[in-house]
Amino acid sequence: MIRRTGRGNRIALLLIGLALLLGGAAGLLRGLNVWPALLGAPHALIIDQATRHWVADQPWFWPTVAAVSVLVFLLTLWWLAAQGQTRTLRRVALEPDARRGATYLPARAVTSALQNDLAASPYVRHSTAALTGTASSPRLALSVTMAADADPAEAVRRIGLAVQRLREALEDDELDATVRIRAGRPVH
Amino acid sequence: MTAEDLAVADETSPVRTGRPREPGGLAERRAAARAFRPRRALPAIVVSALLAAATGLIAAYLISKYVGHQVHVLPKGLFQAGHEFHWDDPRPLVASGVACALGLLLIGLALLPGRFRVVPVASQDPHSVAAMTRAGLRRYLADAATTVDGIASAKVKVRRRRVRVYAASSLRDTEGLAAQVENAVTERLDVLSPLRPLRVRVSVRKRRD
Repeated sequence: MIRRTGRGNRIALLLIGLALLLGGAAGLLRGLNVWPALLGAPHALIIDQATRHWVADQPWFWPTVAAVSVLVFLLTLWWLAAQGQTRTLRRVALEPDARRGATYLPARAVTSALQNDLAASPYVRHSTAALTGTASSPRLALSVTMAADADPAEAVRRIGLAVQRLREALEDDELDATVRIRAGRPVH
Repeated sequence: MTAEDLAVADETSPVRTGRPREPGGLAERRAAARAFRPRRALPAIVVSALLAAATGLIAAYLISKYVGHQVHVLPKGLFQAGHEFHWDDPRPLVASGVACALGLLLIGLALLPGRFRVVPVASQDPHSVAAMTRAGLRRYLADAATTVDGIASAKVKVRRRRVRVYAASSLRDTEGLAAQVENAVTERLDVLSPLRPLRVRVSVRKRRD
């Protein structure tokens, strides 16, 4: 859930939505007397005498409810915290085989090299880069603001070249990149 | 946009590794959809906060009961309602209906892809996905429209499948201008090659002097 917040969010929303829908539908159907054989009589108390006695007879009932709510409480806190999580890498591993020792490179060195490379292009006004993923298989997230008079297709090509050079420097031909291109406002 | 924002935005983009994609193909479209699809962060924050509050209160109520120092954090009417209302009373019916509607809303948020904030374009690289912001594309295409002689200004709207250009001309005779603008805009769009083809529609109006 933390690594792919987008997917995690959707799965969690789907499960909670399904629970709400099923619960709501059951209540609605019972109240409207749609399926009395299965759901019970519509004109009955929501918590009737029999339920009360049953609950009172089960010593485990309330402790279980308490435990489940603590569990759900912790899970939802974790889910909430995951929204604010930023998974920017601080370093990348240059040596994929751990048996041959470890060589790490600060992620900032990588991203600022890329930003400098892009800054050399007249089409690029500003760029921000970040490495995500894991140290041994990093991914690149790149945001580029083009100059107002830039040709986007040429800018895309230029960005591709810069990313390619970065791949060569990292010796990682399969570094995945996500590029967002913004257009700068024209300067008058 | 800071590096942190970027990292957050990238969390949703586990672009499948190791498999080169054909440029402009289905795989690239899928990868772009995965990368730029909305994360549903706001619904997630609202739902998780509400759920955390509710379960936290229930847990506090029950546990304090066992500890021996009862805290009354739950609304008193809650348990009372269960003993008073019948299933076919209006209030439980309304509550059930609201729960159904909320459930459908959450399921929709989970399953619908959501509106992209950006327009994915061909990245010319099998391991990259690229996209242009809507505002950037709007500005860029409006610029293309104004390169046509006789067009004084242009406004562009970028929709899901269509680009709408509203151009203003100071010429008296605007016949044929729309086609020229359409050509100019389409040409620029083709250079950028959006992954989902965008059709261009142009309307030209006369500018009052």
